[in-house]
Amino acid sequence: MKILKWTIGLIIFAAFFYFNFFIYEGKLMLQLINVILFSSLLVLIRVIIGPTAADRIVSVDILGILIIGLTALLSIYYNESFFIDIGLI
Amino acid sequence: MNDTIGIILICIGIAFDFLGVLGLIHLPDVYNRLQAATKCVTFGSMGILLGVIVMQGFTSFGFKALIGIVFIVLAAPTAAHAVSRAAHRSRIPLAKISVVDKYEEDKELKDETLKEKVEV
Repeated sequence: MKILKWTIGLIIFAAFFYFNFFIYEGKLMLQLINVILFSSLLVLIRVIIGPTAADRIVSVDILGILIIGLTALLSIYYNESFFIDIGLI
Repeated sequence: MNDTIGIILICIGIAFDFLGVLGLIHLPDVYNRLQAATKCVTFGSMGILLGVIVMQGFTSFGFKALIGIVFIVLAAPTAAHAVSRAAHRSRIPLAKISVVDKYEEDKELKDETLKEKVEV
């Protein structure tokens, strides 16, 4: 069972990184933004299946922190500085 | 030159973010998850904002990112500490493989000393 879990996770991560960095033809900043979006998708898994309430609190907290980094990257990509204001809120 | 250093800092930050989220979904316990997830804060998003400062210099980008760093450093570890303390006080159990619980021993010791003072 444990080996099955590790194998599924390894396949998913390897597929994501392969498609993101070798097949998807975007700029480097867009590829980095994709990594953060994938991370927030993984956080949502823990929000849904978390056994206790404290797990969900921690996960949503980390989701907010990830959004701050996402807005900083978006501000560099679009060359507009007001995106960081969204992260400050 | 500044662009290269900034991109390297941003890549380090994103690697920390990804590894922190990986720990968040893999580790067995609330406290372990909190310990992994706080790495997301201190080197993940802070690294990205430092990269923004290095890339753009002290323009409006840089100052807003500086304000963001100060806000994150002040708010996030405090929130993590409060969440872990509240989880321990509301009797959320530790994982089965955990070895020691110093905070529980400390609370019991404090209760004993309080009882002794009351008796005297």
